[in-house]
Amino acid sequence: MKPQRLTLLFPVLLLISICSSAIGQDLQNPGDYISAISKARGDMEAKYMQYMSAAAHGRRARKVEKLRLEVLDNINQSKYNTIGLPIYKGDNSLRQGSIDYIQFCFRVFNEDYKKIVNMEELAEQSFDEMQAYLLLQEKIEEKLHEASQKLSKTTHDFASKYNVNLIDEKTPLTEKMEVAGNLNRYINSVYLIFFKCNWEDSKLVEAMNAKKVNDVEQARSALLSYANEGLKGLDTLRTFENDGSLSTTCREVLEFYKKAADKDVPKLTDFFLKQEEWEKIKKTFDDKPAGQRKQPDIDAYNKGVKDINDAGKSFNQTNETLNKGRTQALNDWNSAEKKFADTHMPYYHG
Amino acid sequence: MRAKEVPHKAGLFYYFQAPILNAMPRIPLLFSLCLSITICLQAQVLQKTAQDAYMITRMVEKYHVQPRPLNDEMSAAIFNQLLSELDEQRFFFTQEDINKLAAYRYTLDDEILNKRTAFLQLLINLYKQRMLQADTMIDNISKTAFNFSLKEKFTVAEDTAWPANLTAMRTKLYKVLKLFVLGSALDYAVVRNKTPDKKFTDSIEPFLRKKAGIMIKRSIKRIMQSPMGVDYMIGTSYCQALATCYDPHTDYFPPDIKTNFESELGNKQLAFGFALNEDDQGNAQIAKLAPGSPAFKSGGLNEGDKIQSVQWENKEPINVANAQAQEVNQVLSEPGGTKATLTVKKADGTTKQVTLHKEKLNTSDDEDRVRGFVLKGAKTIGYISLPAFYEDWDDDRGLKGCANDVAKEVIKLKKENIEGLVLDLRYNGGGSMQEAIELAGIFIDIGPVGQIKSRTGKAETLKDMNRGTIFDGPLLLLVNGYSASASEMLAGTLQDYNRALIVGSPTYGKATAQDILPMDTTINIDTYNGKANADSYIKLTISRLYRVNGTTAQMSGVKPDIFLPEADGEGSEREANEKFALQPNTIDANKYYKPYPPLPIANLQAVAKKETDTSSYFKAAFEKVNQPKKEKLHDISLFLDDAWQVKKTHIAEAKDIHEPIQEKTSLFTVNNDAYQQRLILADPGLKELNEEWKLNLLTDPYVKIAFLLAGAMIK
Repeated sequence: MKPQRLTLLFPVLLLISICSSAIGQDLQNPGDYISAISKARGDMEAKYMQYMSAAAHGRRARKVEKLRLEVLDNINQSKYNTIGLPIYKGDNSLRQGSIDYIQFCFRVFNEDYKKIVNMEELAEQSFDEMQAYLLLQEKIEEKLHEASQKLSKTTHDFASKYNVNLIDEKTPLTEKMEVAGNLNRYINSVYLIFFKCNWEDSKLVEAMNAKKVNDVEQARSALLSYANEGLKGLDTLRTFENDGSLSTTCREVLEFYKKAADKDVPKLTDFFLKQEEWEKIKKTFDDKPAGQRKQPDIDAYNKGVKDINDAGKSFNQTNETLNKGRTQALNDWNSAEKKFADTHMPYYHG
Repeated sequence: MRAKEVPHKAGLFYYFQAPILNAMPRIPLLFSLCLSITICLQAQVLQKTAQDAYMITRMVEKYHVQPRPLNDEMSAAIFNQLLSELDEQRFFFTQEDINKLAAYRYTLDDEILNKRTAFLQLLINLYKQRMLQADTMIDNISKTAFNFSLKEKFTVAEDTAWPANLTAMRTKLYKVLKLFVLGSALDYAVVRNKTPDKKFTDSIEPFLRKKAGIMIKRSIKRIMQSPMGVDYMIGTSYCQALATCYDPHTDYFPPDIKTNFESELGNKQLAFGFALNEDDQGNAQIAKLAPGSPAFKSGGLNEGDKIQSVQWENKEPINVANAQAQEVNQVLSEPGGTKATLTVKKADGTTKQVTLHKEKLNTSDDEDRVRGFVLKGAKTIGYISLPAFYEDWDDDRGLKGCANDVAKEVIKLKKENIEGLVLDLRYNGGGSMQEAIELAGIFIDIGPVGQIKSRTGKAETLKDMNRGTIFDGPLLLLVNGYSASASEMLAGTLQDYNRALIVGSPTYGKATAQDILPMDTTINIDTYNGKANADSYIKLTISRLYRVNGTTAQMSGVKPDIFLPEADGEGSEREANEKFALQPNTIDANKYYKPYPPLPIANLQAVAKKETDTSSYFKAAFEKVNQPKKEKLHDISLFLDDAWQVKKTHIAEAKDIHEPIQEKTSLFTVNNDAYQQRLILADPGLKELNEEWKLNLLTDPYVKIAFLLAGAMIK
């Protein structure tokens, strides 16, 4: 399974709510100027909240995609709005800080990561796609945090320089975004536990299909250790608003992975070894001219036939059980995640 | 990475038939036609050689990791290398010949770059002439009994220099033959516990003289009757000498040498499909026929048959009766030899002729692959022998590659509840780099395992992309001076990670990677799939290898954590002894590798010391390490009394030297895993080999010490 969730990290960090006590639109007035800069970012936050709400409450994919494009348009529009504002008495710090921030948000939301992080260094550090994903997520999160902190500081510095008193003001939108942010953070923490196992399981399936014992066994051992590590992690994870359903489902999925790695996959590996053994027994038998074969040769051959047939039967049964279990586990996870988001994501229609 | 070296082919000759022309004047037209064809073919061979030599320089210039300039100095190096290849013992060319050839000593660079053939032409003509003369001289020398009462000497000067002229050449051949006969006679005397007086030597001299003459003449005939002709063989040597002067692992391959080189890395081999061993008299005989091979399908060969002669298509037969297996194998592996008629002597004394055509055969002989055993004693330790880093040539998944084989073996051994594991990489000359990376992954979690750097690019990290491990317990690697290339990479990686204890002697010191490419400067080296068919190929050193910590095993090899001397004390040839080896350098360490906690090396060294102090084998081996190095060459007397005195002195000296003797250990028993046991039951033929393996492991002092150390590593 390829990582697909990066954009969902976006919302909380986008949240910057700084309001000025000044009222009016006199751009010569520093308070009004701060307000104008903040307002120029327009409704990109509202549009983003709308998008998240739609995605969490099961709106149709086309609608969600339409909203996503609208978010991008809004971010762009915010940028133009800000560019259209004058420089404050030769001081461009706040205006430029806001433009930079908006530009940054656009890149994150448009998944234009190579402009944000050093992808080459990231590739050097990561040894597979999973690590690349985790590292990228970590870096983006870090950069988003930095960007929002930077804008906050620039705004505060500007206000302080021109003796403007800033106060934080919570609006219904910012409150909803805060909830959405907390929700996403929680889902993400459970998802990461699931993701590691799920990703490793996909490697295991890939290796099984390739019949490569080396890869199967390494993936098996990694899956077992991620499952154990994940189960421990879930032990210490709090519920979200008293709802432990996502964590419970994740635990069930991990229990499946653990059993698969610990008990079932070794049976499949054993089949590959038996198969190789059988091929050698068969070759020995076939290389011997029929006239020279003796009863012990025939007995060994027949025993080989029985062993490989038994191993094949066990392989098929185990494989079928595993496949069913895997499908069930994934369905359970997907529906639990969907339900969880639907339950806890605030509604917002803009 | 291509780590294994193909043996160099020494000595070339061409049998020239033109003199018959005068004997048959009635059909001059036909003969003149034949002659022109011969000359035309020779010209084609020379032109191809010149073209290939030129292409080698182009390929090197474009892809070699550190191309050496082709100048006068390089020209002299090629000159020396080639002459050493063609006449290592310096008895076919005379100093007069060398003087003539020396006109080209500093101009071979121009010859090559301008695709000229004048030097080759001169070399080939001289070589052919001298080989024919040597053949006749040996016939003449062998007619007369050697007189060992003469106070003659074979001087160092004679031994190491080219003979001044043809007279001196005859004298040198005479002394070489005489020395062989005298030395063999003394050996016989020692074996039979007799004094080699005149009577004794006279009785044995005719037999030994004949044997010596046949042996040298056989090597001349092998060249004279080589399948593709002498021009081709000299041309090949010329290109190989050029390639080797860039670095010891760059080489030139005609197609069949390429195929057989690749067979050492797990690919199919071009062969007739029989193996040779020797009978009680040391003569070659057929030991085994590979099912499905040309030899097997011919129906005309059986185990125990003795090959009397080998005749390549359109050539004269080469007498190999009473030759050793190695000599026969050398004849059978001549470049370009694909179709031959063998004359064999059957067990009932009759002879039979069988014509065979070489085919590409699977080299899935289990002896060349991974073997695993369980050593049971105070602890249960797994033992895996890996003779080469072979790869899967038929399937990109690498199912038949050595890493997958080792993984399977580890799983089988884990089912036997092993507590520690010994991976034996002694004599493992390397092979596929990808397999080495995958193999490291069995023992370490995901991470960097090494670095590789081509001439122009920046260092790239080689990564184990597979999460997880198959074996987490105590791990020990056995290495020696023959562990090269991929072996060194694996040993270096596992040492850098503190994952394995490295035990043995320093490894060979080859930290470069090669690729086999067709002679085509338009190929993209990054995407080339290795499957192009061409008339000739180059094995080219394209990158340097570095450890994750930025150092390299180039020249110095991987230094073991626990040093154990090799049986002869000083060890094998090493990269550092190679004239054209690339000098080592370092690069930045990889920032992202996370080593495991350090191993208790000092404690383990103490465990090893306790054993080496008490083991008669290691006491003797350490004594050899401390012995003064061999004396320089000196004149050898061909006078019986003097020679016998020298021999006796050597025997007395040898008695003072304690040869390392291998004793059977009772510390552990050697057992098969359950899978192997079932295979042996199904194939009793495996039993004998299996018992041989077990005995070797029981008497191997390095395995014993590895068992002790692995046991001590168990927490």
